[in-house]
Amino acid sequence: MAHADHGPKFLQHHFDTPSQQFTAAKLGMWLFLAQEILFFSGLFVAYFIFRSWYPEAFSIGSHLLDWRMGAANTVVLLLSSFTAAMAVRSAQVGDRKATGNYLLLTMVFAAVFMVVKYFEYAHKIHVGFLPGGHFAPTEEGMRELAEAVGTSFHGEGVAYHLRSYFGIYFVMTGIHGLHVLVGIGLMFWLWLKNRRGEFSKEYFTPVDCTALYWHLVDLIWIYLFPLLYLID
Amino acid sequence: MSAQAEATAPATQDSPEGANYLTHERGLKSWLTTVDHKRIGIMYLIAVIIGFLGGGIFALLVRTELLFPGETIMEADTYNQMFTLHGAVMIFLFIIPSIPAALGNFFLPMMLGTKDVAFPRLNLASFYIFVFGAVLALVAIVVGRVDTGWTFYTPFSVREAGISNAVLWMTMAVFIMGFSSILTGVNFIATVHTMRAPGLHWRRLPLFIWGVYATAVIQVLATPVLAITVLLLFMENILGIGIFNPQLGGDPVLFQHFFWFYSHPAVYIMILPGMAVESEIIATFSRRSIFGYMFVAMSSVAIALISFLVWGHHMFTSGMSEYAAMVFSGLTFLVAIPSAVKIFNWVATLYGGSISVKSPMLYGLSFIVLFSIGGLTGLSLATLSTDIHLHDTYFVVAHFHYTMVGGTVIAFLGGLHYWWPKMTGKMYSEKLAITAWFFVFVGFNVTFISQFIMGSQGMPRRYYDYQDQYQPLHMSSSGGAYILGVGFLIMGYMFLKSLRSGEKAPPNPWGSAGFEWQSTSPPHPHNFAEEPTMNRGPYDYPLATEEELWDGFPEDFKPSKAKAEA
Amino acid sequence: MAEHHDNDYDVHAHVTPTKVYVGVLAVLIFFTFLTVAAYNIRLGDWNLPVAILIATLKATLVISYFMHMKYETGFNIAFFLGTVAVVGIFLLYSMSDTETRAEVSEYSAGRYDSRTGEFASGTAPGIVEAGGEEAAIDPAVLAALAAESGEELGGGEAGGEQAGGEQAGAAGGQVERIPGDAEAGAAIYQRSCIACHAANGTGNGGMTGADFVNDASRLSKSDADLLTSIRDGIIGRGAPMPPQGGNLSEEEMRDVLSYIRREFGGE
Repeated sequence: MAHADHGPKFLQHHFDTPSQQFTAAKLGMWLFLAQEILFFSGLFVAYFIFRSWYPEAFSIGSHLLDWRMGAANTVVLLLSSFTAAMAVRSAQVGDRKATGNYLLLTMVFAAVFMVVKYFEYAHKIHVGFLPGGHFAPTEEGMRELAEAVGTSFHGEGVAYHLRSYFGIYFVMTGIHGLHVLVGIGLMFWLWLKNRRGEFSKEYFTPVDCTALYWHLVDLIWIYLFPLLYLID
Repeated sequence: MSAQAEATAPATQDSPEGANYLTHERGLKSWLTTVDHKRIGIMYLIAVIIGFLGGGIFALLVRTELLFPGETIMEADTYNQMFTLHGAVMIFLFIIPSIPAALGNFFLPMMLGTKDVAFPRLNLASFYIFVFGAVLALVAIVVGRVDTGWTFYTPFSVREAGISNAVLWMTMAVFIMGFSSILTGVNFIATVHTMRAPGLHWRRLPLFIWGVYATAVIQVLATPVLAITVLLLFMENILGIGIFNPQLGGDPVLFQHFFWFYSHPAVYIMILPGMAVESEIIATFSRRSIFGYMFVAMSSVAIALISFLVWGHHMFTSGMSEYAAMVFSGLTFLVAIPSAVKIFNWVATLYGGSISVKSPMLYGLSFIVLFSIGGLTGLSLATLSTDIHLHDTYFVVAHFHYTMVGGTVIAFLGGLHYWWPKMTGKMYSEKLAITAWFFVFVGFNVTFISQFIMGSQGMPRRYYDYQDQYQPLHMSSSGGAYILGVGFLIMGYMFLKSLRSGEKAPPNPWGSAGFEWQSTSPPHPHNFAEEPTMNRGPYDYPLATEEELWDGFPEDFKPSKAKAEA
Repeated sequence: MAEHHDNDYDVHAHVTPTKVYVGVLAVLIFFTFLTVAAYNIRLGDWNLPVAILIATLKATLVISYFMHMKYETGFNIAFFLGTVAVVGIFLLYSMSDTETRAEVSEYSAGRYDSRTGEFASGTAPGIVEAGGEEAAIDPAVLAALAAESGEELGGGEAGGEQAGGEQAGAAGGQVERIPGDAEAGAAIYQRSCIACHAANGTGNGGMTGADFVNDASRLSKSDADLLTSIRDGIIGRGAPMPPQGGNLSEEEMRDVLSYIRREFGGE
């Protein structure tokens, strides 16, 4: 079996047709996404259990987050999902320039998300709203707490369980953030491949699969936003 | 099948005449950079055998210490590490990868009539990820004390803070090896869906494929929960997030929920491939189709699905709510049903079959007996009232050894014997095989029946020291372990001798109708000389031709009818 | 090798029109605004399901259109839904444990405190209690607490020997009772008290909240005093107790006190 007569360059040896290769790749990617969902599911289970045990702390903790930043980040990720989908579409119709631009835009939006996240984290760390055993509000933090609780606040009391809330908050948004960073890396890798002209109407599989990953990252955030930022 | 089974592989553009997957490229580099599923399977086989040896040595050390009460050959702290490492090494470095990664990798594409798995490079990556994880596990053993039991329960596993906690290294190793498992699962599912040869529709799939496919589904869905559990344990220890610490508002039982949500389906990742191999062996050595093929196939899927519903039965005495305990107990009874369906169908296959008891079949028959014992004793543990007394005793230890060793390891050995001629092109000594089997069978039963008795009399597991009344049973259990070890030594010698000087194997030494036998022994680099078309099922003995069943067969194994015609 | 046709390079993937994507994006952003709006409407217990419903609608749009699920093969869809089902099982069954911890069946009404190795007296279900030896609370700890709060501990023995496991129930007959519905109180306890006082009433060994079971000074107070504690909170003794006056009505406070006395006071 010589290479020459097997088919186009992108067709791997063990596949008979590009269609078979594409179907296999998409199936493999959906399976990978399934395992990503199960990975995050553990965090959501922990969230619901702790929220059920400490409803007041979760409510207060949620008020301590800035819902406007959260909403902005939600819109940013939705836009990035849009540009990722457009990148795939551009590759599907063979528009190399548009593909590259949409990939770039996706990376920009993802970067904006991380910048907003940075500001949120920095503030929390600054006022001592840290997870678990490290929860130690500074004076400024105490004032924020008092505002959120609505009464003058000078002890631990119900805020004791804020450490659980912030444990959940940092772990969930942190692992999500890591996935955003990985996504940025993948988009950049795609952008390079696109520049080299590796994608075409017949072969856009890596763009399609990477975009699927990116949409999952968006999906996780779609749930994180109301669950963390919008607890009554 | 339209493919011809030839005694030697025909010449092609890629490989000279007579070349097989072992010989067509030589040198270490060709092995380390291979994307051939067969070579990857062999590399996994070597890796898991090394893992088995390591885990086995830990086991013998544990059993030797337990010969007498009190200190025998080691201190209590060391003993804790010995049983922990026995468990962790056996589970993560041997049993979970064993059948899927070694035998599955080799035979899945062949049974599908295709050239390779869907993602061969991913396959190689999975292997390297596995090796990397295994190396980390070794680092953990050296860094410090991994002594929490393989279950790593909090708070004991996070009592030492920081990076010198060897438990962190071990769990990191587990995290990494988990990804090897997940990616193998992804690969297998994609392969079965998209790369079947023409004519091979789902209802003609070999039962080995059904079993490995169901296993792959569990691997993909359950293993990530282990990953997040380990990650949270990591953060608990390093960042003090307090999710499992009651003093910080957390819950240690939550760790157990997370851990067992993976680890229960994991035991089905261990047994389903064993059952998959069992179907192949029973069919071939009864020379007929498996009775109730569709039931056996669907029972694999059913086991995979139900396995996700029962994890709480590991936690009956943990402080879990009573209500939840009742729910889990009831569901656990459910999961026994599809397993029983398989046992009944295999026995029904034997009845009315033309049985030949060759060495692989010895393992096949042992599986039925030993796994049944394991499964039935599981019912005593599923029952809440008896589990209260039996939990954390040797009864549990004996139960899971009967299912994992009497089930999976026996099946793995059976598969190894069965497919050895195909993988290596050599036959092994049947006499040595029977001798080894005898030691393994006797040794195993002596070891673990002693433990059933001890456990029901109250001997707790993981205990370093014990009351004098248990000493005779401990001694007999350890004696059995030594006999088991001798069995493996004989087996090891037998296989090595086969590699050196074994008789050349024909394409189909057992006269099986299975598709993987329609190739040379060892197989051609691309498995088949030309892509086969499947016109019959893998157990359709009446439809298989003489040529497919007996071609190139050594004279003394041919049936007398064919001899008369020859 | 199998034949392949030169025109078989087409991978048969659906190309979505740009305007569909734009439309989906617009709806998604609208739903985001809706999520925030819904949050600002006080729906009580319904806020959470509404938020999840809207999030799921958004997710469905992303999955169906951006991820092309609408045009995917049956298996991919089925596997995805199966994955979600498995997550549901994980959540449901884990919570079937964590939500029902406080419920104790009639068969095991005995309250076992693993710290002292004892059943709360009078509650051991038909088991003969180990004679004589009862674990004692470290007198030094009691003395320190007494000094800190200036209150007298149960039975008026500030620093002396105190048999552990002595229940407020022993002193219970001497205090005034205000009637309340203990059954209703169980649910209130689950919601508002269990976090600090724990399902078994020991407050995690007194660390996160008062230990009703082993600290006899607690439930030996009168109902009126205890209701004041619940209403106004306590500061100055270990972890401060936050006031529940804004949280619970007078009737709810009486109910939960009845529950606490019944469960942990040995009545």
